[in-house]
Parts: sequence; structure tokens; C-alpha cells
Amino acid sequence: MLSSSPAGPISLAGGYVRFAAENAEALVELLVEHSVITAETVVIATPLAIVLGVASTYNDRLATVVLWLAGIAMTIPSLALFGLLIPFLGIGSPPVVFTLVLYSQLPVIRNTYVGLTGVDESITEAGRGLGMTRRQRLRRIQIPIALPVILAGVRNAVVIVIGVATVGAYIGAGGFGDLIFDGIRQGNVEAIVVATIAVSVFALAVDYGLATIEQLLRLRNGDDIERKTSTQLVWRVLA
Amino acid sequence: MIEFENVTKTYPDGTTAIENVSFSVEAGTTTVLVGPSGCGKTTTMKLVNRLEDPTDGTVSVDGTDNRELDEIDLRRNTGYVIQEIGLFDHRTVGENIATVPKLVGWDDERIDERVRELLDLMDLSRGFRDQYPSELSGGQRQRVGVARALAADPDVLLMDEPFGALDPITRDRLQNEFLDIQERINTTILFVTHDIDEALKMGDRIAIFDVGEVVQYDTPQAILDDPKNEFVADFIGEDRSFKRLDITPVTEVMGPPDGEYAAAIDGNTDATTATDGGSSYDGEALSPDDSVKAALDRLLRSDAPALPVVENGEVIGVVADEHIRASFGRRSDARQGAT
Ligand SMILES: Nc1ncnc2c1ncn2[C@@H]1O[C@H](COP(=O)(O)OP(=O)(O)OP(=O)(O)O)[C@@H](O)[C@H]1O
Ligand SMILES: [Mg+2]
Repeated sequence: MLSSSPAGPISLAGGYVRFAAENAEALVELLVEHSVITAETVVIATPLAIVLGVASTYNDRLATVVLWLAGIAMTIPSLALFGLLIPFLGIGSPPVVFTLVLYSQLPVIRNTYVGLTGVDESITEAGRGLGMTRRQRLRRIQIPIALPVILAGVRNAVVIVIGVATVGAYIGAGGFGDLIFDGIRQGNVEAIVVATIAVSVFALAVDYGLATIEQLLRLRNGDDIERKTSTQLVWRVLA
Repeated sequence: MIEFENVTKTYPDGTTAIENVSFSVEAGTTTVLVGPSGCGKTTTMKLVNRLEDPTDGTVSVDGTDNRELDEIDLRRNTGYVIQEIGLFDHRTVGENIATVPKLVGWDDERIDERVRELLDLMDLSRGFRDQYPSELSGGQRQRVGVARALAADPDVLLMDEPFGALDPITRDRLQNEFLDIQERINTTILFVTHDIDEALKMGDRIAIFDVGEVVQYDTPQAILDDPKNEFVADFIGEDRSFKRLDITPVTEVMGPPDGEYAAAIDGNTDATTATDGGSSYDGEALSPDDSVKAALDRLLRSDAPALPVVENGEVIGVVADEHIRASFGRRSDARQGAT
């Protein structure tokens, strides 16, 4: 039962704001749930993807296989994956986090690989010539220089994760998805719109925060970049 | 001491960069590899610290085949200035310079002191220490590259076109500074350039490369006096005599102070008029460090038929036209009869 209200855009927006205000407490709770799922995913997915990305730089064949598999993983529909995982992981957040970890792999592995191999060859060659071992070159040259690029991959993954996590509510993982599914069941457009906006704003905010960190890393590397306002602020506070 | 014995290097893609190359660099001296682009200079250099291994022949360092040495230790004991400079852009100038001392585990205090010493040595202000390479000029970056290579007092120094991307004036200044430094550090140096003038200026010995092979390996004087073939003669260029005058110190050609020119130089021997570098024309007296080219230049500008060479206020010799001419005769057998 979708109510098509004849009201103009102003009163429409007013309705959403009223809905948000009335359900503020519930929204905060959903935000916490959504954040926890996202954080769990990032904490598991990032180290895994970085290790795979680093390993890929040692062997071209491995790189091809790893990137191909990570690409395939992204094409599996999330609902199908949840269904397949429920027998092993039950319902709730475990199968959702598992799925999101899979989805996060491609952007982070790819950026790790590109970041590490994209370091100016004269720099790694200088490291070799000065007597750094392969490991030392990785730790002291390649990873620090590639870190902003790797973080850009993480940003990419986080935006995907926040979006897809919404679907996880379908199997009881909680988060803003709960509100959307409720809205669909009850024909409550306000609930759907408010939850959708909340997901987008959440994703954008996290993205902006990470982008700021990325810029700070670039500055620390001595890069000359056009600084965001937030970067200027933090950089000045740190200096 | 570095020794190349019949060394050939073929890259995996089939390019033979050098073929059957032999030469040696005496301990404490500078050998310059010079030749056109792509002739294998960089490859030759990389064979010393095992950034590449030879396909054939041996490269030995202090008498040991370097393939028997641990490559990491070998590289840490070998200063390396790479052609592209290759500074670590994400590290400050100080951190760049401290790279090898840190790798070999010096304590912080010693590293700190060494970095300061090297900034002074390379005439970089101490303020650069906390700046990033991207904030420096090309010349300053090259100095940092050299300082980084010198940091852990290596026994061997490899310099691949260290003054390559510089304007002539800065280059000339860095060359002179480096000649001074070289006297102080007593390191075995292999220096690559494609500029013959730089080779003549910097080298105790010069190896001239044609594509993949050494065509002549000799002292600068010998190469100028007696180019082995047309390639070498072409490479040196038309003004061979001038180049030789430039690298010959006046002390090698001057005559005795009490000879026939004693009267001519009388009154010109005031020590305060002697110049050190040869760049000033205030006085008529020459210093022992002056080149014959500088002497000739001043003779041409002066009314006097001869100029005194003065060291510590004492006339140690005299240079006139005939001495300069005779020095050519003395070296070149072909012209012996003519003079
Ligand atoms: N890693 C490599 N793989 C294949 N070929 C190479 C490699 N490095 C150099 N070469 C080739 O070997 C030859 C010699 O190269 P090298 O870099 O030693 O020359 P160079 O004398 O230092 O030249 P330049 O003055 O331009 O620096 C060239 O033909 C070059 O293309
Ligand atoms: Mg080269």
C-alpha cells in the first residue's frame, strides 16, 4: 500500500524530518549496528586484502589469479551468498560480515598491488643499491609510499560495505536496512526515504573522513597536493 | 680495488650491454667511464655492487670475486649515486642521508653527527635537513644523493652521472667541490659520465666505451696525447690541445726560476699577487695549482714574456711560451723533430 501524497516537496521534506525526529533514538541504535558491522568487516578485510596484495607483487601469475577471484566474488549477488552461508554461519551478522569481507577484497587488493608496483623504479632501485633487503624495501619504501593509494582502496570498499550491509538486515543483521524492510512491509515511504538518506550520509561522512586521512598521509610523504579544508585544519593542529 | 676481467653482460631479453670488458680501479683513485648513451656504462657500474651479475668473466673487489661476497653487505659498503638520483621522496633530506648508517645499525647520536657533517661537506644548509626532496632544486637533490652515498664511509663509491642534470655553472662548482672532497676521503671511485671534459677533469684514469666495449683505458694525458683510434679522437673533439693544457698543472712544464727569464719576472714575484684557483687576473704570478691553460691565458694578456710560479712567497719556476710549446714536443713523438 504505497500512499501517493499530493503534497508539495516542502511538506514532503517536512514529513521526513518529523519522522526522523520522532524516531531519533531508534535511528541512533541502527547507526550503531550499521557501524559495528562495517567496522568488523574493515578490521577483517583490510589486513587480509593487504596481505594478498603484497603477495601478488611477488608473482605475476598469483596476481592474475587473486585479482580474478576477487572480481568474481563481487559478481555474486549478496542475497544468494547469505542464503548459501546460513547453513554454516547461522543468521544475523556472521554471514553478512563474511559476505562483506569478500566484497571488500577487490578494491583493496587492487590498490595495494597498484600502489606497491607503481612506486618510481628509481626509488626502489636506489634502495636496492644502498643495501636494503627486499623486506626492508617493502617496509621502508613501498608500503609508506603506497599507503595513501591503499587507503583509497579501503575507502572504496567501505562505501560498498555500508551500502550492501543494508541488505543484511534481511537475515537479521540489523542496521538501517531494518527500517527499510519495515517500511516496505508497512508501506511507510517516510521510513524508507529516511533510512536511505541515513545510509548515504553515513557512507559520505566515512568517505570524507578517510579521504582526509589519505591526504594527511600524502602530506606526510612530502607530496604536494591541493588540500581539503578538513586536511588543512588537521594538518595545522598537528603541526 | 676493483677489477673487471673479461666481463660480458647479456640481459635476459638478449641485449648484450658489454662484451669482454677488462680494466681495474686502483684503491684510492678515480676511474671515469665515459662514452655515448647506451654503451653500457650504467651496466658496468651495477656489476660492481651486484645489482647485476656478469654473464661471463669476473668482477672482483679487493681481490675477491664479488659473487662470493654477501650482496647486501657489499652494497652497504659501496656508496651508490644512481643516475636518476632516486631520493626517497617520502623521507626528509636527513632521513635520506641516514639510510645506510641506519641499515647497518649506527646509534642515533652518531647518525645525527654524521648527517650534520655531510650537510656541511656538501655545502647544504642545515635547514634542509627536515625538508622533503620535492622542496629542493635539482642541484641540491644531486648533492643529497651524493651525501647519502657517502654516509657510511664506503670503501668504494659508484657515481652514475652524479652531476648530469645541472647547468654548466653549478656543474663546474660541484665538480670542483667534489675534487676537494675526493682528496679528503681517499675512496676508490668509479665515476660515469658521457661528457669527455668531465671525464678528463675528474679521472685519474679514463675508460672510453664504444658500444659495449672499452676502446681505450688510460690516464687523461695519455688519452689526449695518443688517442688510440678515430672513435676516441672524435670523442675527444677538435680542441685536444686546449683540453690537455687545461688538465696539465704549470708545475709540469715550468722552467727553472734562475734561467734566462730571471730578469723578465723580476718584480713580479710578490706573493700577495699569486692567485689560487686561477680565476682571478689580479696578479701576474701563477700558483702551482694553475693549469697550463690558465698560464697561457695570462701570458697572452700580459706584456711580460714569462710569468713566475709562486708557492708560499717563493718563486719555484717560470713559464714562458716556449715551455708550453716544448711540453707538447716532449709528449708527442711525432712532433719531436718539429720543435
Ligand atoms: N634491465 C635491462 N634489460 C635489458 N636491456 C637493458 C637493461 N638495462 C640496460 N639495457 C640495455 O643495455 C644497453 C646498455 O645500457 P646502459 O644503461 O648500461 O647504458 P649507459 O651507457 O649507462 O647509457 P646512458 O648514458 O644513456 O645512461 C642499452 O642498450 C640498454 O638498452
Ligand atoms: Mg646510464
